[in-house]
Amino acid sequence: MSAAPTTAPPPPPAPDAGGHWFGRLRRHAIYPVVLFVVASSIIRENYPFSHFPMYARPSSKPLSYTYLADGDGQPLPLLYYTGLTPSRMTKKFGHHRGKYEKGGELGEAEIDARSGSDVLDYVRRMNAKRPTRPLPDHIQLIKVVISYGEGEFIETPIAVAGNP
Amino acid sequence: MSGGGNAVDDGKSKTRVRRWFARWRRGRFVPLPVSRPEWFIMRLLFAAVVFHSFLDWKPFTYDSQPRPTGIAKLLPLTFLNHEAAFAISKTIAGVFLAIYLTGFRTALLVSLPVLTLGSTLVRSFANSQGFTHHGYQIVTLTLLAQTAVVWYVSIWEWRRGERWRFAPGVTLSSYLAYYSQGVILATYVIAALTKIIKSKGLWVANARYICIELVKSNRTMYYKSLDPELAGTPAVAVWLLKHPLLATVFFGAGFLLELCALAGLRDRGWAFLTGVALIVMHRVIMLTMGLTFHYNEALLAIFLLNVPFWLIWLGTRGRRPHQPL
Repeated sequence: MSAAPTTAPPPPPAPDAGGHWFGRLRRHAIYPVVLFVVASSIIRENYPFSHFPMYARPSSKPLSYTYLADGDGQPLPLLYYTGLTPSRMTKKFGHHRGKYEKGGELGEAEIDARSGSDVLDYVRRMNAKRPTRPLPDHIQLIKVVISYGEGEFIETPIAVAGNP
Repeated sequence: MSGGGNAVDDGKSKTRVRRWFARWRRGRFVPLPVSRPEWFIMRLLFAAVVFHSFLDWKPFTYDSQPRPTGIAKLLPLTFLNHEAAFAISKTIAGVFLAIYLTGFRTALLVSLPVLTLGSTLVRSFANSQGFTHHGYQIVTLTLLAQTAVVWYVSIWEWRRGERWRFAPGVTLSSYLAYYSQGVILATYVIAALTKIIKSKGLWVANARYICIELVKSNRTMYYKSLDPELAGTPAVAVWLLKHPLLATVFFGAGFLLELCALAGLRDRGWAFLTGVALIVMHRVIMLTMGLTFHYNEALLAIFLLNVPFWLIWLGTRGRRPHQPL
Protein backbone atom coordinates (compact mmCIF):
# COMPACT_ATOMS: atom_id res chain seq x y z
CA MET A 1 0.00 0.00 0.00
CA SER A 2 1.23 3.51 -0.64
CA ALA A 3 -0.25 6.70 0.81
CA ALA A 4 -1.28 9.76 -1.16
CA PRO A 5 1.21 12.66 -0.82
CA THR A 6 0.82 14.89 2.20
CA THR A 7 1.09 18.18 0.29
CA ALA A 8 -1.35 19.64 -2.24
CA PRO A 9 -1.15 18.72 -5.96
CA PRO A 10 0.53 17.17 -7.87
CA PRO A 11 -1.05 13.77 -7.08
CA PRO A 12 1.22 10.75 -6.69
CA PRO A 13 2.47 9.16 -9.89
CA ALA A 14 0.38 6.32 -11.27
CA PRO A 15 1.75 3.04 -9.89
CA ASP A 16 2.90 1.89 -13.26
CA ALA A 17 4.33 5.19 -14.49
CA GLY A 18 8.06 5.26 -15.39
CA GLY A 19 11.03 4.04 -13.39
CA HIS A 20 12.49 0.64 -12.63
CA TRP A 21 9.95 -2.17 -12.54
CA PHE A 22 10.70 -3.04 -8.92
CA GLY A 23 10.24 0.56 -7.86
CA ARG A 24 6.89 0.62 -9.65
CA LEU A 25 5.91 -2.67 -8.00
CA ARG A 26 6.84 -1.35 -4.54
CA ARG A 27 4.54 1.64 -5.02
CA HIS A 28 1.70 -0.52 -6.26
CA ALA A 29 -1.20 -1.74 -4.12
CA ILE A 30 -0.44 -5.35 -5.08
CA TYR A 31 3.02 -5.25 -3.51
CA PRO A 32 1.96 -6.54 -0.04
CA VAL A 33 0.24 -9.48 -1.76
CA VAL A 34 3.43 -10.34 -3.61
CA LEU A 35 5.39 -10.03 -0.35
CA PHE A 36 2.92 -12.38 1.31
CA VAL A 37 3.43 -14.98 -1.45
CA VAL A 38 7.19 -14.84 -0.99
CA ALA A 39 7.01 -14.82 2.82
CA SER A 40 4.63 -17.78 2.99
CA SER A 41 6.84 -19.80 0.68
CA ILE A 42 9.76 -19.15 3.04
CA ILE A 43 7.91 -19.48 6.38
CA ARG A 44 6.32 -22.72 5.16
CA GLU A 45 4.30 -24.79 7.64
CA ASN A 46 3.80 -22.44 10.59
CA TYR A 47 0.13 -21.71 11.04
CA PRO A 48 -1.46 -19.63 9.65
CA PHE A 49 1.29 -19.55 7.04
CA SER A 50 1.84 -22.49 4.75
CA HIS A 51 3.48 -23.28 1.45
CA PHE A 52 0.57 -25.65 0.68
CA PRO A 53 2.65 -28.65 -0.38
CA MET A 54 -0.31 -30.95 -1.08
CA TYR A 55 0.18 -33.06 -4.22
CA ALA A 56 3.25 -31.01 -5.07
CA ARG A 57 5.43 -33.94 -6.10
CA PRO A 58 3.52 -36.48 -8.21
CA SER A 59 5.75 -39.33 -9.28
CA SER A 60 5.66 -42.88 -10.53
CA LYS A 61 6.85 -44.10 -7.10
CA PRO A 62 4.41 -46.17 -5.01
CA LEU A 63 2.29 -44.45 -2.39
CA SER A 64 1.12 -45.85 0.93
CA TYR A 65 -1.67 -45.34 3.41
CA THR A 66 -2.67 -46.99 6.67
CA TYR A 67 -5.87 -48.32 8.17
CA LEU A 68 -6.89 -49.86 11.47
CA ALA A 69 -7.77 -53.56 11.69
CA ASP A 70 -8.69 -56.05 14.40
CA GLY A 71 -6.62 -59.07 15.39
CA ASP A 72 -7.94 -61.05 12.40
CA GLY A 73 -7.03 -58.30 9.95
CA GLN A 74 -10.63 -57.13 9.44
CA PRO A 75 -10.77 -53.35 8.91
CA LEU A 76 -12.28 -51.22 11.69
CA PRO A 77 -14.15 -47.91 11.12
CA LEU A 78 -11.49 -45.57 12.50
CA LEU A 79 -13.67 -42.47 12.76
CA TYR A 80 -16.26 -44.29 14.87
CA TYR A 81 -13.73 -45.53 17.39
CA THR A 82 -11.36 -42.58 17.60
CA GLY A 83 -12.65 -39.46 15.80
CA LEU A 84 -9.57 -39.71 13.57
CA THR A 85 -9.50 -40.25 9.82
CA PRO A 86 -7.17 -42.68 8.04
CA SER A 87 -5.66 -39.67 6.29
CA ARG A 88 -4.65 -38.12 9.62
CA MET A 89 -3.48 -41.45 10.98
CA THR A 90 -1.32 -41.95 7.87
CA LYS A 91 0.18 -38.48 8.28
CA LYS A 92 0.91 -39.24 11.92
CA PHE A 93 2.54 -42.51 10.88
CA GLY A 94 4.65 -40.56 8.39
CA HIS A 95 5.74 -38.04 11.04
CA HIS A 96 6.81 -40.82 13.42
CA ARG A 97 8.69 -42.54 10.60
CA GLY A 98 10.51 -39.30 9.90
CA LYS A 99 11.56 -39.12 13.55
CA TYR A 100 12.99 -42.67 13.52
CA GLU A 101 14.62 -42.24 10.12
CA LYS A 102 16.68 -39.32 11.42
CA GLY A 103 18.53 -41.70 13.73
CA GLY A 104 19.81 -43.52 10.66
CA GLU A 105 20.37 -46.80 12.53
CA LEU A 106 17.13 -48.68 12.01
CA GLY A 107 16.02 -50.70 9.02
CA GLU A 108 12.80 -49.92 7.16
CA ALA A 109 10.84 -52.74 8.77
CA GLU A 110 11.93 -51.65 12.27
CA ILE A 111 11.05 -48.03 11.52
CA ASP A 112 7.60 -49.12 10.35
CA ALA A 113 7.13 -51.29 13.43
CA ARG A 114 8.09 -48.57 15.92
CA SER A 115 6.11 -45.88 14.12
CA GLY A 116 3.12 -48.19 13.89
CA SER A 117 3.37 -48.96 17.59
CA ASP A 118 3.43 -45.25 18.44
CA VAL A 119 0.39 -44.64 16.25
CA LEU A 120 -1.55 -47.50 17.84
CA ASP A 121 -0.76 -46.08 21.30
CA TYR A 122 -2.22 -42.77 20.09
CA VAL A 123 -5.26 -44.59 18.69
CA ARG A 124 -5.84 -46.27 22.07
CA ARG A 125 -5.59 -42.89 23.84
CA MET A 126 -8.13 -41.35 21.45
CA ASN A 127 -10.42 -44.36 21.92
CA ALA A 128 -10.19 -43.99 25.69
CA LYS A 129 -12.17 -40.75 25.27
CA ARG A 130 -15.02 -42.80 23.81
CA PRO A 131 -15.77 -45.30 26.60
CA THR A 132 -19.00 -46.45 24.96
CA ARG A 133 -17.10 -47.55 21.85
CA PRO A 134 -14.30 -49.79 23.07
CA LEU A 135 -11.83 -51.12 20.54
CA PRO A 136 -11.23 -54.88 20.27
CA ASP A 137 -8.63 -56.28 22.64
CA HIS A 138 -6.14 -56.68 19.81
CA ILE A 139 -5.74 -54.14 17.02
CA GLN A 140 -3.30 -53.86 14.14
CA LEU A 141 -2.02 -51.09 11.93
CA ILE A 142 -2.08 -52.14 8.28
CA LYS A 143 0.08 -50.27 5.79
CA VAL A 144 -0.95 -50.61 2.15
CA VAL A 145 1.47 -49.81 -0.67
CA ILE A 146 -0.17 -48.77 -3.97
CA SER A 147 1.89 -49.15 -7.13
CA TYR A 148 1.28 -49.13 -10.87
CA GLY A 149 0.55 -52.26 -12.84
CA GLU A 150 -0.43 -52.77 -16.49
CA GLY A 151 -3.50 -50.54 -16.77
CA GLU A 152 -4.31 -51.15 -13.10
CA PHE A 153 -3.20 -50.36 -9.58
CA ILE A 154 -1.58 -52.97 -7.36
CA GLU A 155 -2.15 -52.80 -3.59
CA THR A 156 0.02 -54.70 -1.12
CA PRO A 157 -1.14 -54.70 2.53
CA ILE A 158 1.39 -55.27 5.34
CA ALA A 159 0.61 -55.51 9.07
CA VAL A 160 3.30 -53.23 10.54
CA ALA A 161 2.35 -53.19 14.22
CA GLY A 162 -0.06 -54.70 16.75
CA ASN A 163 -1.46 -53.53 20.10
CA PRO A 164 -0.91 -55.29 22.37
CA MET B 1 18.58 -19.12 -45.03
CA SER B 2 16.80 -18.22 -41.83
CA GLY B 3 17.64 -16.82 -38.44
CA GLY B 4 17.65 -13.09 -39.01
CA GLY B 5 14.06 -12.90 -40.28
CA ASN B 6 12.81 -15.28 -37.57
CA ALA B 7 14.64 -13.33 -34.88
CA VAL B 8 12.93 -10.13 -36.02
CA ASP B 9 9.51 -11.83 -36.05
CA ASP B 10 10.13 -13.27 -32.58
CA GLY B 11 11.15 -9.84 -31.37
CA LYS B 12 7.99 -8.27 -32.80
CA SER B 13 5.82 -10.97 -31.19
CA LYS B 14 7.46 -10.43 -27.80
CA THR B 15 6.97 -6.68 -28.10
CA ARG B 16 3.30 -7.19 -29.03
CA VAL B 17 2.81 -9.45 -26.04
CA ARG B 18 4.56 -6.99 -23.73
CA ARG B 19 2.44 -4.13 -25.05
CA TRP B 20 -0.76 -6.12 -24.65
CA PHE B 21 0.20 -7.08 -21.10
CA ALA B 22 1.09 -3.48 -20.23
CA ARG B 23 -2.29 -2.28 -21.58
CA TRP B 24 -4.09 -5.07 -19.77
CA ARG B 25 -2.66 -4.21 -16.38
CA ARG B 26 -2.29 -0.42 -16.63
CA GLY B 27 -4.35 1.36 -14.00
CA ARG B 28 -5.82 -1.92 -12.76
CA PHE B 29 -5.14 -4.25 -9.83
CA VAL B 30 -6.01 -1.48 -7.38
CA PRO B 31 -8.68 -1.20 -4.64
CA LEU B 32 -12.03 -0.21 -6.11
CA PRO B 33 -14.87 1.78 -4.54
CA VAL B 34 -17.03 -0.45 -2.38
CA SER B 35 -20.51 0.69 -1.40
CA ARG B 36 -21.73 0.47 2.19
CA PRO B 37 -24.39 -2.21 1.49
CA GLU B 38 -21.86 -4.25 -0.47
CA TRP B 39 -19.23 -4.12 2.27
CA PHE B 40 -21.81 -4.84 4.96
CA ILE B 41 -22.97 -7.98 3.12
CA MET B 42 -19.35 -9.10 2.67
CA ARG B 43 -18.69 -8.52 6.37
CA LEU B 44 -21.85 -10.34 7.39
CA LEU B 45 -21.16 -13.39 5.27
CA PHE B 46 -17.50 -13.45 6.29
CA ALA B 47 -18.48 -13.22 9.95
CA ALA B 48 -20.79 -16.21 9.47
CA VAL B 49 -17.93 -18.21 7.95
CA VAL B 50 -15.54 -17.21 10.74
CA PHE B 51 -18.07 -18.14 13.41
CA HIS B 52 -18.64 -21.50 11.73
CA SER B 53 -14.90 -22.14 11.85
CA PHE B 54 -15.00 -21.65 15.63
CA LEU B 55 -17.67 -24.34 16.00
CA ASP B 56 -15.21 -27.20 15.42
CA TRP B 57 -14.84 -28.88 18.83
CA LYS B 58 -12.20 -31.44 17.80
CA PRO B 59 -9.09 -29.37 18.62
CA PHE B 60 -10.31 -29.03 22.21
CA THR B 61 -10.25 -32.82 22.65
CA TYR B 62 -6.51 -33.13 22.11
CA ASP B 63 -4.51 -33.30 25.33
CA SER B 64 -1.02 -32.75 23.99
CA GLN B 65 0.89 -31.19 21.12
CA PRO B 66 3.35 -33.88 20.00
CA ARG B 67 4.40 -31.90 16.93
CA PRO B 68 4.11 -28.19 17.69
CA THR B 69 3.70 -25.83 14.78
CA GLY B 70 3.63 -22.05 14.55
CA ILE B 71 2.79 -20.33 17.81
CA ALA B 72 2.60 -23.74 19.56
CA LYS B 73 6.41 -23.89 19.32
CA LEU B 74 6.64 -20.85 21.59
CA LEU B 75 3.61 -21.33 23.80
CA PRO B 76 2.10 -24.65 24.95
CA LEU B 77 -1.50 -24.61 23.80
CA THR B 78 -2.66 -27.56 25.88
CA PHE B 79 -4.72 -25.13 27.97
CA LEU B 80 -7.24 -25.41 25.13
CA ASN B 81 -7.95 -28.94 26.39
CA HIS B 82 -9.77 -27.46 29.37
CA GLU B 83 -13.44 -28.46 29.53
CA ALA B 84 -14.61 -24.84 29.34
CA ALA B 85 -12.23 -23.81 26.57
CA PHE B 86 -14.55 -24.63 23.66
CA ALA B 87 -17.48 -22.70 25.14
CA ILE B 88 -15.24 -19.73 25.96
CA SER B 89 -13.76 -19.76 22.47
CA LYS B 90 -17.19 -19.75 20.82
CA THR B 91 -18.42 -16.98 23.09
CA ILE B 92 -15.42 -14.77 22.46
CA ALA B 93 -15.75 -15.35 18.72
CA GLY B 94 -19.44 -14.47 18.80
CA VAL B 95 -18.94 -11.31 20.81
CA PHE B 96 -16.06 -9.99 18.74
CA LEU B 97 -17.74 -10.87 15.46
CA ALA B 98 -20.71 -8.80 16.56
CA ILE B 99 -18.29 -5.93 17.22
CA TYR B 100 -16.66 -6.54 13.83
CA LEU B 101 -20.03 -6.31 12.12
CA THR B 102 -20.56 -2.74 13.28
CA GLY B 103 -17.83 -1.75 10.82
CA PHE B 104 -16.54 1.20 12.83
CA ARG B 105 -12.78 1.75 12.73
CA THR B 106 -12.33 1.24 16.47
CA ALA B 107 -14.46 -1.89 16.36
CA LEU B 108 -12.28 -3.31 13.60
CA LEU B 109 -9.07 -2.35 15.42
CA VAL B 110 -10.20 -4.28 18.49
CA SER B 111 -12.10 -7.24 17.03
CA LEU B 112 -9.85 -8.28 14.16
CA PRO B 113 -6.69 -8.97 16.20
CA VAL B 114 -8.68 -10.92 18.77
CA LEU B 115 -10.40 -13.04 16.13
CA THR B 116 -7.11 -13.60 14.28
CA LEU B 117 -5.33 -14.63 17.46
CA GLY B 118 -8.17 -16.92 18.53
CA SER B 119 -8.29 -18.63 15.16
CA THR B 120 -4.50 -18.98 15.12
CA LEU B 121 -4.32 -20.51 18.60
CA VAL B 122 -7.05 -23.08 18.00
CA ARG B 123 -5.90 -24.14 14.55
CA SER B 124 -2.21 -24.17 15.51
CA PHE B 125 -3.08 -26.57 18.32
CA ALA B 126 -5.10 -28.72 15.89
CA ASN B 127 -2.16 -28.81 13.48
CA SER B 128 0.27 -29.72 16.26
CA GLN B 129 -1.00 -33.32 16.55
CA GLY B 130 1.23 -34.81 13.84
CA PHE B 131 -1.24 -34.31 11.00
CA THR B 132 -1.67 -31.01 9.19
CA HIS B 133 -4.99 -29.81 7.87
CA HIS B 134 -5.09 -26.88 5.46
CA GLY B 135 -8.84 -26.35 5.36
CA TYR B 136 -8.97 -23.47 7.86
CA GLN B 137 -5.89 -21.55 6.76
CA ILE B 138 -7.80 -19.29 4.42
CA VAL B 139 -10.13 -18.06 7.17
CA THR B 140 -7.28 -17.13 9.50
CA LEU B 141 -5.26 -15.55 6.70
CA THR B 142 -8.20 -13.37 5.64
CA LEU B 143 -8.62 -12.23 9.24
CA LEU B 144 -4.89 -11.52 9.37
CA ALA B 145 -5.00 -9.53 6.13
CA GLN B 146 -7.85 -7.36 7.36
CA THR B 147 -6.08 -6.86 10.70
CA ALA B 148 -2.90 -5.78 8.91
CA VAL B 149 -4.79 -3.30 6.70
CA VAL B 150 -6.74 -1.58 9.45
CA TRP B 151 -3.76 -1.40 11.80
CA TYR B 152 -1.35 -0.22 9.08
CA VAL B 153 -3.63 2.63 8.05
CA SER B 154 -4.37 3.57 11.66
CA ILE B 155 -0.70 3.58 12.71
CA TRP B 156 0.20 5.61 9.61
CA GLU B 157 -2.47 8.19 10.51
CA TRP B 158 -1.40 8.29 14.14
CA ARG B 159 2.27 8.84 13.27
CA ARG B 160 1.59 11.49 10.61
CA GLY B 161 -1.20 13.18 12.53
CA GLU B 162 -3.42 13.27 9.46
CA ARG B 163 -5.98 11.12 7.70
CA TRP B 164 -4.92 8.66 5.03
CA ARG B 165 -5.87 10.11 1.66
CA PHE B 166 -7.70 7.53 -0.37
CA ALA B 167 -8.20 7.83 -4.10
CA PRO B 168 -11.59 9.31 -5.13
CA GLY B 169 -14.41 6.95 -4.19
CA VAL B 170 -12.07 4.59 -2.38
CA THR B 171 -12.36 4.00 1.37
CA LEU B 172 -10.81 1.78 4.01
CA SER B 173 -13.49 -0.80 3.10
CA SER B 174 -12.06 -0.89 -0.43
CA TYR B 175 -8.66 -1.80 0.96
CA LEU B 176 -10.13 -4.40 3.30
CA ALA B 177 -12.00 -6.04 0.40
CA TYR B 178 -8.99 -5.82 -1.93
CA TYR B 179 -6.52 -7.40 0.46
CA SER B 180 -9.03 -10.06 1.47
CA GLN B 181 -9.24 -10.97 -2.21
CA GLY B 182 -5.47 -10.71 -2.46
CA VAL B 183 -4.68 -13.11 0.36
CA ILE B 184 -7.27 -15.62 -0.86
CA LEU B 185 -5.87 -15.63 -4.38
CA ALA B 186 -2.29 -15.61 -3.11
CA THR B 187 -2.80 -19.00 -1.41
CA TYR B 188 -3.34 -20.55 -4.83
CA VAL B 189 -0.26 -18.89 -6.27
CA ILE B 190 1.79 -20.17 -3.31
CA ALA B 191 0.50 -23.71 -3.97
CA ALA B 192 1.49 -23.44 -7.63
CA LEU B 193 4.98 -22.13 -6.80
CA THR B 194 5.46 -24.96 -4.30
CA LYS B 195 4.53 -27.43 -7.04
CA ILE B 196 7.16 -25.93 -9.31
CA ILE B 197 9.83 -25.95 -6.60
CA LYS B 198 9.16 -29.42 -5.19
CA SER B 199 8.83 -31.08 -8.58
CA LYS B 200 11.84 -29.17 -9.97
CA GLY B 201 9.69 -27.76 -12.72
CA LEU B 202 8.27 -31.13 -13.75
CA TRP B 203 4.86 -30.95 -12.08
CA VAL B 204 2.81 -30.72 -15.27
CA ALA B 205 4.86 -33.47 -16.94
CA ASN B 206 4.32 -35.72 -13.89
CA ALA B 207 0.70 -34.73 -13.31
CA ARG B 208 -0.45 -37.98 -14.98
CA TYR B 209 0.73 -39.82 -11.84
CA ILE B 210 -1.83 -38.01 -9.71
CA CYS B 211 -4.25 -40.82 -10.57
CA ILE B 212 -2.59 -42.89 -7.86
CA GLU B 213 -3.39 -40.09 -5.38
CA LEU B 214 -7.06 -40.50 -6.33
CA VAL B 215 -6.85 -44.15 -5.32
CA LYS B 216 -5.18 -43.29 -2.05
CA SER B 217 -7.81 -40.61 -1.30
CA ASN B 218 -10.58 -43.06 -2.07
CA ARG B 219 -9.10 -45.70 0.20
CA THR B 220 -8.61 -43.33 3.13
CA MET B 221 -12.21 -42.21 2.76
CA TYR B 222 -13.40 -45.83 2.65
CA TYR B 223 -11.51 -46.90 5.76
CA LYS B 224 -12.87 -43.88 7.67
CA SER B 225 -16.30 -45.49 8.10
CA LEU B 226 -16.15 -48.55 5.79
CA ASP B 227 -18.83 -47.03 3.56
CA PRO B 228 -19.64 -49.76 0.98
CA GLU B 229 -20.30 -47.10 -1.67
CA LEU B 230 -16.62 -46.21 -1.55
CA ALA B 231 -15.35 -49.76 -1.93
CA GLY B 232 -13.50 -50.55 -5.14
CA THR B 233 -11.15 -48.52 -7.30
CA PRO B 234 -12.54 -45.18 -8.58
CA ALA B 235 -13.26 -45.42 -12.29
CA VAL B 236 -11.85 -41.95 -12.92
CA ALA B 237 -8.45 -43.04 -11.51
CA VAL B 238 -8.30 -46.01 -13.88
CA TRP B 239 -9.40 -43.80 -16.78
CA LEU B 240 -6.66 -41.26 -16.02
CA LEU B 241 -4.11 -44.08 -15.74
CA LYS B 242 -5.06 -45.26 -19.24
CA HIS B 243 -5.16 -41.73 -20.71
CA PRO B 244 -1.98 -40.03 -19.45
CA LEU B 245 -2.04 -37.23 -22.03
CA LEU B 246 -5.56 -36.17 -21.10
CA ALA B 247 -4.60 -36.40 -17.44
CA THR B 248 -1.72 -34.02 -18.10
CA VAL B 249 -4.02 -31.54 -19.87
CA PHE B 250 -6.64 -31.80 -17.15
CA PHE B 251 -4.31 -31.26 -14.19
CA GLY B 252 -2.16 -28.80 -16.13
CA ALA B 253 -5.19 -26.55 -16.56
CA GLY B 254 -5.73 -26.54 -12.80
CA PHE B 255 -2.09 -25.76 -12.20
CA LEU B 256 -2.20 -22.82 -14.65
CA LEU B 257 -5.31 -21.49 -12.96
CA GLU B 258 -3.55 -21.57 -9.58
CA LEU B 259 -0.41 -19.90 -10.95
CA CYS B 260 -2.38 -17.06 -12.57
CA ALA B 261 -4.90 -16.64 -9.76
CA LEU B 262 -3.79 -13.07 -9.02
CA ALA B 263 -5.46 -12.07 -12.29
CA GLY B 264 -8.58 -11.98 -10.15
CA LEU B 265 -7.31 -8.74 -8.61
CA ARG B 266 -7.48 -6.88 -11.91
CA ASP B 267 -11.09 -5.78 -11.58
CA ARG B 268 -14.51 -7.06 -10.58
CA GLY B 269 -15.07 -8.92 -13.83
CA TRP B 270 -11.81 -10.83 -13.52
CA ALA B 271 -12.51 -11.43 -9.83
CA PHE B 272 -15.83 -13.01 -10.75
CA LEU B 273 -14.37 -15.21 -13.48
CA THR B 274 -11.39 -16.29 -11.37
CA GLY B 275 -13.68 -17.02 -8.45
CA VAL B 276 -15.95 -19.17 -10.59
CA ALA B 277 -13.00 -21.04 -12.09
CA LEU B 278 -11.48 -21.77 -8.67
CA ILE B 279 -14.80 -22.94 -7.25
CA VAL B 280 -15.25 -25.25 -10.25
CA MET B 281 -11.73 -26.56 -9.62
CA HIS B 282 -12.61 -27.31 -5.99
CA ARG B 283 -15.82 -29.05 -7.03
CA VAL B 284 -13.93 -31.24 -9.51
CA ILE B 285 -11.37 -32.08 -6.80
CA MET B 286 -14.22 -32.97 -4.46
CA LEU B 287 -15.82 -35.29 -7.05
CA THR B 288 -12.60 -37.01 -8.08
CA MET B 289 -10.59 -37.08 -4.86
CA GLY B 290 -13.21 -36.60 -2.15
CA LEU B 291 -11.32 -33.62 -0.74
CA THR B 292 -13.43 -30.70 0.43
CA PHE B 293 -12.34 -27.11 0.95
CA HIS B 294 -15.62 -25.56 2.02
CA TYR B 295 -14.06 -22.48 3.55
CA ASN B 296 -12.09 -21.74 0.40
CA GLU B 297 -15.23 -21.98 -1.68
CA ALA B 298 -17.20 -19.83 0.74
CA LEU B 299 -14.62 -17.04 0.79
CA LEU B 300 -14.23 -17.19 -2.99
CA ALA B 301 -18.00 -16.76 -3.28
CA ILE B 302 -18.06 -13.86 -0.81
CA PHE B 303 -15.04 -11.83 -1.93
CA LEU B 304 -14.53 -12.86 -5.57
CA LEU B 305 -17.93 -13.74 -6.98
CA ASN B 306 -19.49 -11.02 -4.82
CA VAL B 307 -23.01 -11.70 -6.07
CA PRO B 308 -24.57 -8.90 -3.95
CA PHE B 309 -22.45 -6.33 -5.82
CA TRP B 310 -23.66 -7.60 -9.22
CA LEU B 311 -27.28 -7.54 -8.09
CA ILE B 312 -26.90 -3.96 -6.82
CA TRP B 313 -25.01 -2.98 -9.96
CA LEU B 314 -27.65 -4.43 -12.28
CA GLY B 315 -30.43 -2.85 -10.24
CA THR B 316 -28.97 0.67 -10.21
CA ARG B 317 -27.27 0.86 -13.58
CA GLY B 318 -29.84 3.03 -15.30
CA ARG B 319 -30.58 5.28 -12.35
CA ARG B 320 -27.20 6.60 -11.29
CA PRO B 321 -23.56 6.43 -12.38
CA HIS B 322 -22.57 2.91 -11.56
CA GLN B 323 -19.37 1.91 -9.90
CA PRO B 324 -16.34 1.18 -12.02
CA LEU B 325 -15.78 -2.50 -12.56
